[in-house]
Amino acid sequence: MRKSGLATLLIILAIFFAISYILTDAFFESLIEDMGTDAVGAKVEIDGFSFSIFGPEVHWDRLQVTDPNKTMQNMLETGLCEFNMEFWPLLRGKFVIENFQLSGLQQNTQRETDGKIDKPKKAKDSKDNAIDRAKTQLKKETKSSSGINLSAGLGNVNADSIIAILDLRTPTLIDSTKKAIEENFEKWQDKLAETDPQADVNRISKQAQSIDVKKIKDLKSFQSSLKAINEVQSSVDSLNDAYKETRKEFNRDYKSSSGTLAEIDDWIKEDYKRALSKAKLPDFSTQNIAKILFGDNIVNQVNEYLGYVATARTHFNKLSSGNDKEPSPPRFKGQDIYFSSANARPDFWLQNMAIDGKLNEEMPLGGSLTNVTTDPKMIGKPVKLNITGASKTRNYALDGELNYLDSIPKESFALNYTGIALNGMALSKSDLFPNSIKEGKGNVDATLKITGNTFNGKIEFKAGNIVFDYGENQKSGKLASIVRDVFNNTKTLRVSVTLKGKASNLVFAVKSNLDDALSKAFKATASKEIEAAKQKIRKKIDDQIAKKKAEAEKIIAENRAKLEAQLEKYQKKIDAVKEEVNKHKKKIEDEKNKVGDKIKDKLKDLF
Amino acid sequence: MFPLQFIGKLVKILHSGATPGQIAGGFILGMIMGLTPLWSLHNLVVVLILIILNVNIAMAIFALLICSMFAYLLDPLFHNIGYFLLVDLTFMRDLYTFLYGIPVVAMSRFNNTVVMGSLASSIILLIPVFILVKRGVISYRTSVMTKMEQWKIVKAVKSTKIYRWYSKYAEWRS
Repeated sequence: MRKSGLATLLIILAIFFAISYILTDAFFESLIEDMGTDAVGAKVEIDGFSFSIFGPEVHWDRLQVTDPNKTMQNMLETGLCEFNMEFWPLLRGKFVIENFQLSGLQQNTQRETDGKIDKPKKAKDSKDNAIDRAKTQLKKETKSSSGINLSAGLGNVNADSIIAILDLRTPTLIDSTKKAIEENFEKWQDKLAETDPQADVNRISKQAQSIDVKKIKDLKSFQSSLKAINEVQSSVDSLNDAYKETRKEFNRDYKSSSGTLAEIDDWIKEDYKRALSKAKLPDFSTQNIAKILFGDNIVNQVNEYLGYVATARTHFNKLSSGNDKEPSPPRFKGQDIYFSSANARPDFWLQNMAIDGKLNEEMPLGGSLTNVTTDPKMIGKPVKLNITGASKTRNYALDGELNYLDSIPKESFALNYTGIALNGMALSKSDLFPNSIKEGKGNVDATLKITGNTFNGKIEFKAGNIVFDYGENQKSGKLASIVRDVFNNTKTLRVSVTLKGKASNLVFAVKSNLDDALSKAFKATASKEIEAAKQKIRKKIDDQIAKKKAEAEKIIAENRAKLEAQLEKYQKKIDAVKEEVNKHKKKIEDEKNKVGDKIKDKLKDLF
Repeated sequence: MFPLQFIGKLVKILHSGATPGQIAGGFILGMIMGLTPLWSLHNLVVVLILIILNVNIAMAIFALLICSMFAYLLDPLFHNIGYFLLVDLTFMRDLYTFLYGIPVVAMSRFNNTVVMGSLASSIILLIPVFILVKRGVISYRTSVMTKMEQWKIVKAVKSTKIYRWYSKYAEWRS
């Protein structure tokens, strides 16, 4: 036994533990602050951090996470927090937190110093962009509804100026159609001149007349005459067939010209649509009103929650990617053989976090977050979040589950919030609708399920004793007066939101009891005026286009009549020669009968 | 110069006052560290034993350097041995699973084929090498060392200025 060696070893160990004891807290504090700052993109600060190997236990007095968009404000702030970890996994670089006591959680607190950092925020990880696509889609939905000009004056539509700036397309298209019709007419005239059957009719007539019936004396002469007349008849038939083909072609061609006339109606419709969009007449469909009023608020709230889900998915992907251990090359570095173990631990596992804080000034919150891990499959449990809060007038309950046990991520949330004070809640920015709610209390009941990139959510919002606030800029006029009457008479509010479908094709529907009330009121008064304005525009367009359309129709009809008359003439000529040939053939057959009778008589005489 | 330094060190160790057992003990501990991947938990245990037990540390360092060079070449063989022990010996699987569940044992990376293969080889070689080195030292000291000192070339080398300078340098370094 080497006593001096043992003594040296003990001294080294003592020095190591002493230095560790002094420096560990500062080291870990700095490490966590740096990691947090990098992740958030703004300062993350910890006060009163301490780490003890016995436990091992960590605690801090205060944690501030700066809001990267408002750097003088904390996105989150905690009071005293403490947690203990499993010791043995820690030696293998695995953080297994058993009980995390998070107290004094607050949102949106003021900072004493600016939490801005100079370093640019890291580019967003776009591993899972289904959530981003859904957020963009929702933003688009509200933009499209808020783009409607509700303050357009009714009954003051200047149809002339709209038509003047509109530059109607139909007249130009009709002119070019007329030109095409004329060209087509000329083409047919030329073609019919070329296909005049007169010469053929004359030739056939001559051929028929050249067959002399009187010369039929016997069977032989009859047969040769019959053969000749049959040949003439087949010439007539082919002439008739050729005529029929030309007629068919003509009908086809003029049918397509009529189709062009039908297109004129579509062009007029298109011009009418453009004129209406220029006139910016309000469209008071039920969905639009609800979306205009509540769309922004709802979408902002939903997008905030979707942002949390996106963060969870991104971090889950990032962390769990490290678990896809590939076997090391077999030579030189060896190969790790894995054995199942009841004590196996993921790289990070927050088993249970007890949350205690405030949602706002007077509502205390409590709850838990369990099984946050880098390898959910290893522990076989989903992340569960449960937060409840209650004050004298309010109740809050949020349940969430983030299930990453399968290849398709699944998240589900259920929120129930009652007694929400609506004072000052912003509504539409339109000067036609109220800007905010002055007084009122409401309840929210919401569920959202996300499976991969498929969303299924429903939000039910009910509010009572509502008083709307129009602000200072009150719009005057009939429309504004209708809207104000409806809102002033509305004391209860029921809003129902549906969110359904794939991220790229999300259906976002908002309905409220205000919809029916407003629609009824508009239908009673405003819709008549809107209809009159529409008719005014329609008439202006029709006046400009109807004359040209009639001209085009007339030209087509006249040309067709002319060409048909010519074709009719040709038909008559062919029919005439056909008749002539048929008569001639009949004569030949009659002559054959006579010759037959004569032969019979001679035979009778003989016997 | 490098091989000469090695031989010089070896000669110095052999000529030192350390007993054959201490030299052989130092050698086998250094051999374990040299043959197995250095940054493994079991090597921490070996270092502690090295510090606590009265073995020749210089010989351990010498063995570590020599065996490290061989280990690089022997790694494929160690991998095969480790793979055989960890995978092919199916009756051992329950034991490995049990050990894998013990945090400290799992930290030793025993489930790595090279770690397992080299450690098993070292343990198998432990006693034979100890006996071999001990006997070698004894026989060197009783026969070779005495005879070598009688060699003309040794006497000639020892009488050179270079050797004297080297001896002084070595003495000064030690």
